[in-house]
Formats: sequence, C-alpha cells, structure tokens
Amino acid sequence: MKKKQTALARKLNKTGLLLCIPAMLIVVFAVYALGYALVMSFNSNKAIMAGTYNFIGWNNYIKVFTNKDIRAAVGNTLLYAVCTICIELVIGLVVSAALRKNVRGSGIAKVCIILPMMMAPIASGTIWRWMLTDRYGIINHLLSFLNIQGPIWLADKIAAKAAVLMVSIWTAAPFVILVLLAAISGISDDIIEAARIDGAGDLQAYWYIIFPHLKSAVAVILLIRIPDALKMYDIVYILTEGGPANSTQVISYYIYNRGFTTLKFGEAAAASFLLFVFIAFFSVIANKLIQRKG
Amino acid sequence: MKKKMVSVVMCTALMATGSLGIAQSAFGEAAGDFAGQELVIAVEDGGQYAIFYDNIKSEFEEMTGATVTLVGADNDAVIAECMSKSGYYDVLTMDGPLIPQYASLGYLLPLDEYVEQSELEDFYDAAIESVKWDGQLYCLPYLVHGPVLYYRTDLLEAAGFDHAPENVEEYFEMSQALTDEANGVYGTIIEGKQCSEAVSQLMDKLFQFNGELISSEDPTKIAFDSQETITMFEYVMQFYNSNAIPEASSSYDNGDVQNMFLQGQLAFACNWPYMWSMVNDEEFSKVIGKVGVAPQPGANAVWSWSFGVSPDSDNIDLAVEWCKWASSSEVIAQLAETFINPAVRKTSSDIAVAAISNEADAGALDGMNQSLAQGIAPTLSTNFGELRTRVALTLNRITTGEATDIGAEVAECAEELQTILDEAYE
Repeated sequence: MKKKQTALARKLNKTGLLLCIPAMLIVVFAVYALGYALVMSFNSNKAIMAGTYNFIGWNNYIKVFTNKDIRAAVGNTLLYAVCTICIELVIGLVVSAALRKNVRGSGIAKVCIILPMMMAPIASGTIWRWMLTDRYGIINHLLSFLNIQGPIWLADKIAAKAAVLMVSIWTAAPFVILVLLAAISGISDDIIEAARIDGAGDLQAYWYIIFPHLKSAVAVILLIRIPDALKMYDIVYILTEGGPANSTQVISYYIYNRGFTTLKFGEAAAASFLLFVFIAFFSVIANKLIQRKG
Repeated sequence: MKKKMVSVVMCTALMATGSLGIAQSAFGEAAGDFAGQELVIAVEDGGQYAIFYDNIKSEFEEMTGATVTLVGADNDAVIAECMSKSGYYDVLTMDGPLIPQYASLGYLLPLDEYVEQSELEDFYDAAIESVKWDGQLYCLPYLVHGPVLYYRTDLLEAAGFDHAPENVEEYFEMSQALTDEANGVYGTIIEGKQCSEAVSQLMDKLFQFNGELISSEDPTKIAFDSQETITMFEYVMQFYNSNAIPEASSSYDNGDVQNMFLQGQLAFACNWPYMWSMVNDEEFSKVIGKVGVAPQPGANAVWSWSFGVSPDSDNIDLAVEWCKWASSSEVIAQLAETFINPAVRKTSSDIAVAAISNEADAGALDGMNQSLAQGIAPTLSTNFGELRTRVALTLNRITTGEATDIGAEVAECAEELQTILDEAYE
C-alpha cells in the first residue's frame, strides 16, 4: 500500500524541483551540444558545411581511428594527464602540509600560490612563452647562473614536452593545493598531538593521520582534474601549436585543427565524442571512488 | 599674381566638387540611401589594415548614412557564422588562399552581377585574378603583396657589400658574412615553426628553386615531390647547419622575424610589405634609417587581401557598396601612402607614387613593386589550408632534424598531399 505524503513533504518536493531548475538548464544545454556533436559525427563533411544532413554511418569514426596523427595526440594527452596530476598531487601534499600551521608569512605565501589560478591560461601561456624563449627568456638566463646551458625549449621535442608539462602544472597546482589545504585544515591539532605523545614522528603522523583524511579531497581533485587535463588545449596552442613535429599535439588541439583549420567538422565531432566518452568513463570511476569513501 | 591665385582656387574648388560628384555617383545613388542600416564587417583581428579601415570608415558612413562596425574575427569565428548562415557578418575580409574554399562552400556571394566590367578595368590583372574562382568574381581586392627582402644598409656597408643579394647563393653567403653572434646579430631567419605562416614564407623559397606545391599545369596534381623541392630544402638546411640563423629558428614564425629585425638583431628579413611602417615607427624600431627594401632573390609568391559579401547578409547592397568604396581609387591610394604598399589599382599607384617625397619610402615602394613584378601566384585548391598544414609538418620535421632523409620526407609528404587534394575533387 502506498504511503500518503504529508503536506510538508509535498512542499519540500516542490521546493526541491524548483531549486533544480538552474541545474536542469545547464543539463539541457549540455545534452543539446552533445547531441549535436553526435549527429555531426555521423554526417558527411560537405553536408555539415552546407547546413544539411547526409548520414554516412561510422565513416568519420573510422577516419579518426585510422589517422596516424591522433595516435600521437592520444599518447601525449595521456602522458600529460598522468604526469601533471601526479606531480600536482605531490606538490599539493607537500605545500599544503607546509602551510597547515599558520606561521608568519603563510598568508602571503597562500596569495602567491593561488595567483596563477587567477590568470587566464592564454595570458599565462604567453608569459611563459616569453620566459622560455631562447634569446631573452629568463629561464635560460637563470640556468646560466648555475652554469647550465638551457635547452631550446620550444624547438626541441623533449624540451617542448617538458615546457608544456611545466606550464600546465604551474597553472593547475594552485587548485590542488587549495583543496588539500582546505581538507588538511579540518584535521584537529589534538589528534596529531595525541599521536606525537604516542611516539609518532612527523612522517608517521602525516602518513597515518593526515593522509587518510585527505583521500576524499584527492578523489575530488581527480574528479575535476582528470577531465581538465584530458581537455588541455590553450597552453599547447600558445606555446607550441602542437610542434615541434607534432610532439606536443594533444587531442583537443587535434580536434580544433581538424575542425577549424582543415574544416573536417565530421571527423572533429567524432573525435570530440570519443573524447567525451573517455572523460565520462574516468569521471564515473572517480565518482564511484568518492561515493565509496563517503 | 592675384588673378593666378583666384584661378587656382577656383580650379581646386571645381575639381573638389567634381570628384565629390563622381564619388557620390559611384557609391550609392544619393547620400543617405542606406540611412539607418548597420553593416558588420569581419576583419583580421588586430591587423594593421583593419585599423586603417576602422580609422576611415566614417567617410563611408557619411556618404551612405549607414553605421559600420568592424569586428576583429579569426577564421574560426567567421566559419562558424557562415556555417550557421546567421548573416551576422555582412562583409568578410578574405585572405586570398581561403577564397576558393569559401566560394565552393557558398559562403561568398558572386559579385559579377553587382560589379560592371568597366569598374574592374583600373585594377591590375593579377589583383582581379586573385579574387576569382572558377571564373567568377567573389571579392574586390585592396591589397596584393608578396614578402620582400628587408636589409640593413649600415651592416651591408660596414661589411663591404654594395648591393642586396640578387640570387640565392649570394643570400646565403651574405647572411653568413653578416652574422656576428658575439653582438647578437644573425644573417637572417628561415622560419621553421609548424604553422601556416611559415609555409607562406616557404612558398617563396620553393618558387626561387622553380618548385611548386600544386601543379600550375594540372591543378589536380601535387608537384611537391620533385628535385626542385629537395634542392630547396637542402638550401634551407644550409642555413640551419651554419651559424647564419639563430639556433632556434625551427620554432620561429613571422612575429619572431619582425621582432628580431626591428630590434636590430638581423641583417636580412623576408617579410610582408606592411613591416615597412613598423621599421619606421619609433615605438617598435631600433633600425630607423638603416633599412632598405629589395625583391627577394629570383622570385616570391604573391597573395591578396580583399572584401567579399556574405550571401546571408540582410544588407547585400550596402555590403557591395562597402567593397567598392574600400577598393576605390582614393582609398587604395590612401592605403598605399599610409603603409608604403603596392597599390592594386593603376590610378592609385600613380597617386601614391606622386605623393611620396621621402627617398627611403620611394625606394621601399620600388622594391615592393619589383617584388610584385616577379611574383608568382600559387595554384590554389578548395582545401589549401589543409595542404598548408601538412607542409608545415614536413618543414618542421626537416628543420628540427626529426627527418634527415629529405627525399623520403618530401616523397611521404607529397603522397599525403595528393590524398588531401584528391578529396577536394571528389
């Protein structure tokens, strides 16, 4: 037998539905864009450009899978995603632990750390491009003080990869630090003090007490940063345009080029949809992890 | 004396009235015909010529009564609007190589029925040919130009050279001789960055070695896989393997060349005619009064910039009027004088040349005109952008040393280029 809802429950349901409207609007736009990309991915390029429809089956997907450039782009994207997220987490854990105690100057340090996050990626990318340039770049100038001959950052394949990695870490690490700092600040000093009384050292206190508390924060970081890293575009665009010799080509930049430079919008839509599926897969896994921790 | 003065004033007044009358009849039946209409023009974002037109658009507004807005837009933004058939941009600024693509996709209105043949007679033939595709007129040009050779007169004189390089061998030898690494001065730069701009510059070198990208005899065939192309790349690598260019040239593009030349760090720079105004701008340049202009050794490519009309525009007549006005004899003369650039119209060229009193400007314009005279218009296709992207990869692979077997790299590139070109004719 169905239970009758009370007046209060019905009112709360209505309020809940009303509160969902803004979120639903976002969902509607997202679903529309996604649906449009999906339709485009099965459409012939000529039809797309003419604003008509001509179903060509899986052709665009086959072209994406058989294109040799995208293999390199996928490899680079995964490499960047794994490296940036791992390095950001290490930096985040170290810096947030260092800033946990509100010692003198930590306020200024926090402001300085979050500064890169406030800059538009295009602006920070341009600044880094100047800093990395071989003729007047400050990076190689500073290295020369240490008697190190800096590489030609943007002309050498490995150095260019390192440069893209360095700039993306610089841009995203503040977010990781902030989230971890917020999580670490919630740990009571009493617990750590008690551990110390029981004979735990700094490292043990961190490993057995602080770190387990941060697992949920790390999962949130992964949930946000994995899609973000897989979608990396602006830094590559500004720093290298995918070069030298496609060595810094990433999926998003490949999609952009395929669409707007070569006007193969069907293939670009197919690659975008595959990227979406890929990101959604990782997001679901990260979400499951968070729920399990919760 | 007084009589003479009065007659001069009267003649001037008559001429002014006459020219105004001609201008009125040429652009709209009467002033205010388009009153209240708004014209949106997509222009190259931050481009020098866009700024020029923005500064003088009020003349067109006064003449037509319309309001003109110039919007800085990348090719991406324009393509997106054209695809959606929004008609947001009434007029499109067209980079020459894109005209076949836009025309074939129906993103440009054929102008044949809007422009009388007599209105085209004053244009140089090369200028009009550059804005046609499949025999139809799609745009009206305001600029046809090719990269010229800027050279440092002081450095050449100090090194005992009395002329700019006249052939490719001289260009290499003089670039080597003028390199002074200790003082941060290099002979030149051969751009090697994986980008389309570097390919535009590479086309000059290709023509200097009698090579071609698409065959001019058979536009369905790629002509890149040739001994000429290989020799050209071997020549380029001579620079990379010597000290005549900065070590990182494989990551340099047009902007880097301009920066280094204006900072006095290059003896030669192959660059666009508009750089002349930057050379003489105290804000940018450390080489004012030390620069000469000559045509590149042997040959160079020529490219055009023009205005075309979107077929989805709600103001087609007004948009056509803009195209006519922006490429009119008076405006082109003003543009040629402002930038010291070759003019696309014969009468404008005469006006601009007569107006130049500065010897250096006159010399620069002469160099640019010689460059146009020896210029070769590349054979285009409806997917030239994609071809350029592929060539950019090969250029970068060779200049970075990623590909050491030039012949094999060129052959592989040509094969892929042919596949791309075939798609254009499917």
